[in-house]
Amino acid sequence: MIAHTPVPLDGLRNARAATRDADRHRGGVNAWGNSFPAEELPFGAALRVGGIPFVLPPVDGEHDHVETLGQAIRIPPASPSLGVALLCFGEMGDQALGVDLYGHGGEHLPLVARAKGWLVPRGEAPADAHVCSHLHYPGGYELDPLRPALWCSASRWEAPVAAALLRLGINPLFHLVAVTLLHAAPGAAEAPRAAHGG
Amino acid sequence: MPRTAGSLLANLEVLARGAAGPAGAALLGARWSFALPRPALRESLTEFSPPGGPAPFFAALEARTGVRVTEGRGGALHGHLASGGAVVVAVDVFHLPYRPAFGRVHSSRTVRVRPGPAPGQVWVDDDWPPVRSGPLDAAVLDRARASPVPRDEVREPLFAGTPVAGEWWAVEVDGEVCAALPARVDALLDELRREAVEGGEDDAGRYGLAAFAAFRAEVDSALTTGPGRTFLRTASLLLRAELGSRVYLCALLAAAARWTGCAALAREAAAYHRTLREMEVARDVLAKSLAGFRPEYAPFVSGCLARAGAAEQRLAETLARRARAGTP
Repeated sequence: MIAHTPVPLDGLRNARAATRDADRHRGGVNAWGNSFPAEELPFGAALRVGGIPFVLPPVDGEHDHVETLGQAIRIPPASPSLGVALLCFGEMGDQALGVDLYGHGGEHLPLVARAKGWLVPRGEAPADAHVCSHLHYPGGYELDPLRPALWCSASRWEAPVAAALLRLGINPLFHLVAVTLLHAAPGAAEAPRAAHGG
Repeated sequence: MPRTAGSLLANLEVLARGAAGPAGAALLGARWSFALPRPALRESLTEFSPPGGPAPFFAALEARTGVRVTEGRGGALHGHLASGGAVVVAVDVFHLPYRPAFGRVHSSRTVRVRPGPAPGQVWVDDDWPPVRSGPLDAAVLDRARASPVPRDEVREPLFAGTPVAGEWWAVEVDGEVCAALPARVDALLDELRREAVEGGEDDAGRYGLAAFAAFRAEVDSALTTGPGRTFLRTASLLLRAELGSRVYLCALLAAAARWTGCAALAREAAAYHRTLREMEVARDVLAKSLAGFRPEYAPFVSGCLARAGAAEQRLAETLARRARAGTP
């Protein structure tokens, strides 16, 4: 069995991905001002993507997610982890991000997270994504031929690590919405590797 | 459509493959330089601008590989279609009813057009997501081919601001020149290397790897001091054009490796292709900056372009060694 712990992103969010119908003009995922429909992203609540539960933080003023610019995410004390999952999306197509995980015991795990492109053609329903029903445009309208999506990108490792810090690399085109640590559930002898994917 | 190529070269590739088979992509790759136009000349860059140079891009390709890209304007397009030909056409998608931008956003790029299934119709293949192939009234296409494409800083900050005026392109392949290419590909690669390394300068701009170094310096300076919108837009479009030609340079390098049985060249071509990602990310962050520039972008873009520059130098050295060794 695998247990999951959400990692807070307090104070790190620096960008806006979602807009309400009344403020579509404030969107800014890309140069064209497109955005997610906020009513389809449960900010302040849980969202399961790719079989992994995430908790989307409440919207922090103007900001609802992290544009990755080298931020350090401090990880609250938790049982040793076996992996980390990012809820993310790539601007301008698929994007990669170097991520360094540091453990309380001096461990250093260099990881590479991959965020698939955020726009999915109508009719596609990938299993490892949360796909919204329509895309917001800054002209005050919405269309559905291309739909915005959040993707699950999971990395796993062999030996449990008491994770202390997650250092994000720099890629302004990589957008991070939520983070979940993966642990062996109390009493579990071994993590069921096949049960989780990115 | 390769993400790294603009719509003109990507569409020409489809036509070139139709005329020459899988080698069609390589035929578009016989150019390696970096064209840095004078600032006043950058204003008219579009999504589909071919890369510049002291010699016209398409003329250089024809002389080197036998792929003949003819550029037309206006109504002659329909005569070409009537003869059964396929073409690439510049459009303003504001006028295309099947596009999300229809009636809302002016944005220029290219689509492929073939004869239609009924009189008064053409068949349009549009590879821009969401991809669509289907019939279209010829009159609708003609409206889309003549548009001022007015600049719209909010809805289309990148691909608007330069009119489309009936431009279209057709592709033919000179079978003899094309068939002789494998036997003379080493000489061609050395010619391309010299083009890149020796560069040059004229009234229109600077060329070659030195011009790329100058472009990098311009970007570093602008991003450090706070870039203007025109700079961001034109720098991104300039990289778009250069990336497009490099995608096909990679196809030529890979074909040369096959033709000459040179595994080392194949490895170098693959490595160079991977590093195009650096130029691509720099291009996209420059475009992203149109919606809001952050100071943190400056060192990131600078690093991407520095790594891209190192890859250019490495390829130049590889081709120089190859020429000195008389490979094969």
